[in-house]
Order: sequence, then C-alpha cells, then structure tokens
Amino acid sequence: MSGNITGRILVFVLLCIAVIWAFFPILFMISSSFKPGNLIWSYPPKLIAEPTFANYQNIATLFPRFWKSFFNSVIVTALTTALTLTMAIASAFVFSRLRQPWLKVPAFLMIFVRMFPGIVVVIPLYPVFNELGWLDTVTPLVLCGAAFAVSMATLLIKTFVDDIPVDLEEAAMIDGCSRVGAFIRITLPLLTPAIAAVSLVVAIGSWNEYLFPLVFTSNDARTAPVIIAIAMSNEDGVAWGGIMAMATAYLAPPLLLVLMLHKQITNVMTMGAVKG
Amino acid sequence: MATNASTAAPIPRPNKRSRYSENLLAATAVTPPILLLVLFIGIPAVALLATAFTDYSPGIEPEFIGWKNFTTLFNSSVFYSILLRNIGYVIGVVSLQLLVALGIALILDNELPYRRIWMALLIAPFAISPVVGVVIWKNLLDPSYGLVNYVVSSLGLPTVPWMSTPLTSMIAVVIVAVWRGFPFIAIILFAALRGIPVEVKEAAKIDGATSFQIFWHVKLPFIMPALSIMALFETIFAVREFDTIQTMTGGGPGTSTSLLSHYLYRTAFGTFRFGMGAAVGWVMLALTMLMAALIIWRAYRDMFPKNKA
Repeated sequence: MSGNITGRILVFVLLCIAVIWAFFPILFMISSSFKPGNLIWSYPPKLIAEPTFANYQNIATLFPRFWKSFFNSVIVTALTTALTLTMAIASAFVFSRLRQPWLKVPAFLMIFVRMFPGIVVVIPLYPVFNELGWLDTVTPLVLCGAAFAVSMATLLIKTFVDDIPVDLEEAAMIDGCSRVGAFIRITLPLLTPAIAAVSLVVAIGSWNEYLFPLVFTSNDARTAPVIIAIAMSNEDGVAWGGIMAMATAYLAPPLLLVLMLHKQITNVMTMGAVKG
Repeated sequence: MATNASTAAPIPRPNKRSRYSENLLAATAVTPPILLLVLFIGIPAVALLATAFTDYSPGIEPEFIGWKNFTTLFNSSVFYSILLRNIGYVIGVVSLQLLVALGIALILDNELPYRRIWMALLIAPFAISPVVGVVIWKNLLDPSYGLVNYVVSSLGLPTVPWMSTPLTSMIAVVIVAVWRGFPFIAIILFAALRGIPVEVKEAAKIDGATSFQIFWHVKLPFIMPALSIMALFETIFAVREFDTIQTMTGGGPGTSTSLLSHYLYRTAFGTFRFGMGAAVGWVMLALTMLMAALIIWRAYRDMFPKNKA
C-alpha cells in the first residue's frame, strides 16, 4: 500500500481534507463562541478574534432558561443511561446464557420494535402523558429514551457476553455460587470496558435527543437542545454570540468523551455491526 | 471451533426445579425492557393505526371516518411532493454518506502515522447533536458573511444563496446530515477493510493489479456486506429525518423543504389534525419496515445462531 512517494503525499493531502471537513466546523464554532459579538460576523471571516468570555457571561441574562435546561439534560441523560444499561445488562445475560425456547419472542420483539420511528409514537402518547400529568416532567423523556435505546444496548452487550467463556461461571457455580452471583462476580467485571462504551453511546443519544423534549415539555423540563433551537429561530435578531456559547457548552461533554474514548466507542460499534 | 461451541452452549441443567428457576430468572430480566417497549412503542404504534381512521383532535370526541384521511392524503399534491422529496433526500443523503465514509475508510486503511489521532478527529461529528450541527452550519453557510461563501468567492466562483431557495436550503440540510452521519459508517467500513486478509491483497499486488483494481476486485466485494447493511440502516434513519429540518429550515420556504416526519409533526401539533398525522405515520412505518425487514431478519438470526438452517 505504501508504494511510491506521490501516492503517500496524495493520501496525506486527502487525509487533511477529510479532517478539515470533519473537525474544522466544530473548531470554528468553538472559536466563534469566544469572539466579541461584533466580530462574529466580521467579513472576511476571522478564525480567531479578540478572545473573550463575554458570550458565556451573557448566557444567563440573554437566555435565562438555558442553565436550567442544561441541568435537565444532565438529569435526563443520567437517568436514561442508568435505566437502559441496567435492563440491557440483565437481558443480555439472559439472552446469552439461557436457552429457553420462549426467549425468542422477547428477542424478536426487541429487534422489531426498535425500528419504529420516534415521531410515530409521540402522537398517541401525547394525550396519555397529558392524562397522567407527565407532560413537562422528565419522566416521559427518560422512559421513551430508554425504550428506544434498550434494544441496541442489549444486542451490543450480548455480543460481548457471548465472547466471555461460560466455563468460569460454571466453575464458580460448582463452588456454590448462584447463577446470577456467578455472572455478577465473574463475568460482569470482565465486561466493564464494553459497558462503559455502550453507556457512552446511549448517553450521547439521550443527550442529543430533540424530538421527545420538544413535544413532551413546555417549560420546566425543557432540555438544552430545545432551548438552543428556540433561540436560533427567534426572528427578530438572533443573538449568535450567546447561541454559539450555549452550543459549545452543550457539545463539550459528549465531544470530550468521544475524543478521549474514541477507541472504545470504535470497538463497540464495530462489534455490533460487523459481527455475524 | 471446540471452544466456540462450549461458549455458546448452555449449561446443562436437567432437573425440573432448576428449569423453573431459570424460567423465572429469564422472565425477571426480560420483563422490564419488554414492558417498556410494548407500552411506549408497541401499543402507541397500534393506537396510531386506529387514530388514522378517525378525525381525532385533542378536546374533540374522535369519530370513525374510515379511509378518509388516507384518501385525502393521497389526493393531496403537497403530500406527494413531500413523499417524493423524502425519497430523493434519502437517496441523496445515503449515497453521499456512503461515498464520503468509504473514501475516509480507504484513506485510514493506509499506513498512517498517528492514525489514532486522525480517527478521533474524524469521528468527532458523531458526538454532535443535530441542533448543534445546525448552529455550526448555519453560521458557515451564511449567504453574505459565512466562511463557505467567502472561500467560494475568493476562488473566483459565484457565491451560493444558501437557505434562501428551496434547493439551496435542501442542500444545506443534506450537508448537515452527511456531516453528522458519515463517522459511524466510516468506522464500520474501516473495520471491514482491516478484516481483509493481507495475503489476498499481496497476491493481487504480485499479479500486477493497480490500486484501483485491488479496490474494485478485492476490497469492494469484501466489504460489500457491511456496506449494504449500513446503506439500509442509514436509509431507515434518513426516512425519519426530523431534527435538522425542524431546526434548520422549519420546512420552509413554504413547505418546500418539508419531509414526512416534519409534515407529520406540523399536521399533528401545528394544526391538531392528529388523525391525518397518524395516516402520514403509517406511510413512514411502511417505508421503514420495507427497509428494515432484512436487518430484522439478520439480527434475529445472529441472536440465535443455532437456528441457521
């Protein structure tokens, strides 16, 4: 592959173009969030201009609901990820280690139902949540988020459980461990890296979710993406400096995690999609 | 092979009592997620089927009106143009995503110094939410002050009126979708390329094959399964595109960039014609299931490998 020098240079030039296409837009927005308001739309555009924290300081006055919505995003993401992973680990264990014939029914249901588009369920659920008094609380966001994430998480974790020999669990069971006890003590610790990576993928999905909070919340339980989208659609004068600062604050956690843990994420995604 | 078999094989537990406890264990573990899936996805989807045959609107007692919503829908030129646009959007986004991802996977498949760093930077858009993607690209694509038009004009080319005509608005949406979607596919394709045995590539090289011939006759056939699964997956997600349309163009100008999801949302929550929205929902479900059938079958087969004929 390494072949001649021209080939190598060509590959490197293409790589640079690809990296600019993928990463430069993110960098440019982060840089813009530190520009003073009058320089954000300076022409010709500047990559860096008189860095200041003013946009971040102004968030609280320009968009008083943002930090509360950011906090809501944290709560929803934490609860959704915890609920999804608890269910996914238990089901992955059962699907991998037990061979009850009837398990094919829930397995099929999981694979089939996850394909449904979210927009299709919000119409029938809206009046129900209204009746239950769940609108504008985090409850429907967590439950719907977990419902849509649990299949993928289960299937991913199952492929990792499949790869861990059952012999160790059997040995522990001969020593008097219960079946669940053997799984928790022997196999679960070996799964930690996979569980961490799947958690991250689930958390990113929940953190970025826009449709459910848009439909099911109106004020108190609004999450960050909805507030940013509303700020952007404000027809009379969009406060771009503030929006860039909000967007940067909101994208920082998942971006940092992906940059740090990209290797683990790559492994998990490859396992899930290519295997079999 | 032998170890494989022992991993997959269940622990033999013949006596009745333990079979009962196994059933109990399996049921306990599987019930919560299944309950969640049924209550929040399954039943609502079935309820949607019913709603589509009514004139339901919040506060009004729903009345059964038969196929009327569907006939109205299929006689509406707005719906047809949205359906066609959605199909065009899916074809455009998915083919561009696959092309970009394939190109990047092929670049990564070379011997590169610091490959880990390049990969981290290349998959970064995977972390970005659709809303932030729109913030980023609305800024870059601003017709008068944006960086993209600045670069275009400094190259002496005519600038593009982004976001002011239906076509340029749609292209902007496609750019955001491709940008956010390619990293996942690129990772999968890169892994598939890495899976090609070195001997196969070496043999082709010794036979005097050019780089392109190696790509076309060796690499492409090898990664075809991964490529086609990704195409199906991305199609399913492009059919339901909502976030980017809603936040970037709001479906406008007019309904000229509206897609099915967005049209459904507007019909149901904008004009409160829930029955009509539900009918759109069924069109989306039908399109999705058409694409998903193969994925569902494959995933089910992989889950119970012993069923393989």
